[in-house]
Amino acid sequence: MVVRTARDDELALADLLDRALYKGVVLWGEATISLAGVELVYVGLKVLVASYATSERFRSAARSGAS
Amino acid sequence: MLYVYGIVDSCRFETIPGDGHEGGDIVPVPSGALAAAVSVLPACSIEATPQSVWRHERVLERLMLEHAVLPLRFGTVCRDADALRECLLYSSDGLVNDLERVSGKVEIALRIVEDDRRSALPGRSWERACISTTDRQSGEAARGILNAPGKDRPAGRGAAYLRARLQRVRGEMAREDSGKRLEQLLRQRLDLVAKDVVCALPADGSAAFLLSCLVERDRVTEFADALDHFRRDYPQFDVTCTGPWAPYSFVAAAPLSGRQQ
Repeated sequence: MVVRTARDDELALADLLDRALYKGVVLWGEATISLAGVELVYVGLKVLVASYATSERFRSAARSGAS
Repeated sequence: MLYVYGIVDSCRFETIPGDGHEGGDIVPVPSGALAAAVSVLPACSIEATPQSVWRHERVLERLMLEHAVLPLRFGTVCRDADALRECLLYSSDGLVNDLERVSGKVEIALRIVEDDRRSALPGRSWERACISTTDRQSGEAARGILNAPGKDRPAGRGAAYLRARLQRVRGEMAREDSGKRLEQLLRQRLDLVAKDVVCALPADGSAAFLLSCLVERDRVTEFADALDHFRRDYPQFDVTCTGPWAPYSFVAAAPLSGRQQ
């Protein structure tokens, strides 16, 4: 088995999106997660933006090969 | 606005010119023994495109060549360096713990689908068709209906609902059981190579199982070989693999510091 690293591979993109949009460190305080076209939600010290819609869009694109 | 890519286990690193979003330089914002890797973002937010997400990942991989790095979730921005230092200070205990955990390691993603037609594993536990605690009452009722002799089976909408519910519960439990079984198998086979494994079931209900393995950077080939053996021994599993990635799945989403609220 060869570990895939192909940057244009749909599966690699799907795995990357699963990680970069849903996982990783979320800082508390003044840092925000701010994606264009997605409404900001400010909740006290912890600021998060739901990235579900964005990731779903790219999942669909990856599945259809449009990405 | 500063776009933040990750946290580095050193208070300094050499500027990486032009590799950031919008061609920005990647520079450190030090805080104690750590530094955040940032670039200046002209806008207040960033669009998530395949290119921009790959850029985020590439910056992390570049930094990982020389440092332990915690990947931040894509899209993290901060007003200025002072505000960012405050964030780092606030989260420092958790960040240091996570940096120790991922130092010298990368993440490998596995996507595994079991082909039931080729399955040779004995004793599928979900065939016991047990019912979860929360669904026990309706599940027992539904099971009673399903087990009733044909002529006694109620044909109303309530019975149909209970049948459908039982089937759904059985399906969910089968997926969970299968996931646990698979994780156990992989842990046995990859234990010597993978330092940690995280298993997840996709939220969309698909048949795939998603596993993230934390592997020492210089043992990725060995890991791939172990996975190859696994595929040969268990041909009923269709295994695809991507990586190495920054260790997104092995960091705390929120700081572990006692200062969190």
